[in-house]
Amino acid sequence: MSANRSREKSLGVPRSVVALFASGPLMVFAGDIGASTSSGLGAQLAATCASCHRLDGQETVLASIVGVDEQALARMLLAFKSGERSGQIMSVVSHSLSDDEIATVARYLSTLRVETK
Amino acid sequence: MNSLTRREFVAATGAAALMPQPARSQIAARVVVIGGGVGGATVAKYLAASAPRIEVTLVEPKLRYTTCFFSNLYLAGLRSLESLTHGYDTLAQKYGVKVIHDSATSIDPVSKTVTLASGTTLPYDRLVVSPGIAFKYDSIVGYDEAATQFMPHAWSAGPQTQLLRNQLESMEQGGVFAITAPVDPFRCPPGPYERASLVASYFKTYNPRAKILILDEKDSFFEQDLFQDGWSRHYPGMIEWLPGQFTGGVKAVNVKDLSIRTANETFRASVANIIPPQRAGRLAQQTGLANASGWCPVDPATFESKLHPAIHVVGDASDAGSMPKSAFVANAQAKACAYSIAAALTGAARAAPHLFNTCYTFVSDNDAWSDAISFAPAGDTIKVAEILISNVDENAETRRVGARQAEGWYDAFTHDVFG
Repeated sequence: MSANRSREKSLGVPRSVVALFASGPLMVFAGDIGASTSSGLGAQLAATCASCHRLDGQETVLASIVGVDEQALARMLLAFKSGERSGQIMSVVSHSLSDDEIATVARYLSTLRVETK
Repeated sequence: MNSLTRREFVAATGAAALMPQPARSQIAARVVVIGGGVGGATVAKYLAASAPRIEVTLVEPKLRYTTCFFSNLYLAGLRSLESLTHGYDTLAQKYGVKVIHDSATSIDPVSKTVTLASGTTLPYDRLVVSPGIAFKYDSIVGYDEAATQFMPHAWSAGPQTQLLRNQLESMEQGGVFAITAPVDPFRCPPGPYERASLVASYFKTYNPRAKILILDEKDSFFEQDLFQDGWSRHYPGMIEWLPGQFTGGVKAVNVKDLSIRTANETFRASVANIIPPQRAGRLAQQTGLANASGWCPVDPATFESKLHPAIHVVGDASDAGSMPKSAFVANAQAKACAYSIAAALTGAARAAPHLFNTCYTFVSDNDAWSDAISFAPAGDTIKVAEILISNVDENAETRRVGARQAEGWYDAFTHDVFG
């Protein structure tokens, strides 16, 4: 699944503003746990994801889940839950989530954006 | 678009020193976190990020933390110790955690204060204690703190890990590397066996006639079938595992000749790695947070101590039912703990906690498997809800991908804790 990086969501920080102040590499923390929205129920569920997937969108070997469409994320989690997709870690995680929780965490994750360096 | 929050502004400008502290009247509560390992650092980060009106202070003597997880890769020469070492600057600068590099010497649960070695007293509304493990030095005759300089445990990462690596590098050709594996529960159940595997991968190239001897207190161990399958494929004849029913347990060591005496026999090693039985860290014992088991009983939803109200215990020191003592578990517990403290102190909504463990385990540099476990509160304890583990039939490509995923996991996980 390829991440849709072109979406501009309301949580984003204007890069031009950051550029004014940053003296080193640009780091924007809009989507990471430091965001002011990080206490909501979606953020609390997404904290589980953050143990393996960076929520700043930086690439690791594991699939990025930042910048992905809400419906696509929910479909993916439901596919693991139903057994349509395999993978022991995501199977165990999805089995522990109710469908409502899947919708909530997918909605939250879809609001995060890839940080720019 | 929203404007920058204060924290984001500070992070972007690197102007942490200029970051205004919240006015006293804006602080809803004070939380002190003792211990800057995975459990403590995660609690501090998530609490500071999710509840800005809580003043979060993290007390940790070390300036930088070296992870025990992945340190077996360092022992095998596959990673540098530097790549396993993390600082606290981001917690301070990005999240506003007040980091104090000092040791907590005592806790007064009545006056709700922590006293530091410097003499400073920190008042708290909630305290989180994440002291990790301590070693039961009295359980093996001849093994004490001084003996660790000759027969390292290397079960807390840092100088001990370096010492063991140096000993392995200078070990005589064809020598014996002995590992003692303790009784349950102990930090990182697959750890001693992964260590044997990865040291074997090093010996295979640099000391091919060397032998590895595991003297176990137990009669079986976690993921035994996967390990033994890996040993026979990668290192035939190199690793010998002696179960507790054969050894009768490790009774004594002698640092002078690096010998290990079990109930039935004495073994002489070229390099000896003694992993002693364990209990919760010193401060937990001293404060009466641990019971007769040596570990700290906690509420399964909030990780609040069952013995001292307003003090929470996360990580290896906790007795959290079926949850193993792993970094992943410490991180999961810490998040549940942070959100429950935020809810208690600020009235914030709290989602039902989800508790997991995931471990990637290496049997060679290109052969790693994973396991995933979910947990659920059950009465006053925590039980396994589901467990899925790799199997011995997986092909080489799956395991190669597993090894690369493990490296990616390390990056993401340490970012979650310290970044």
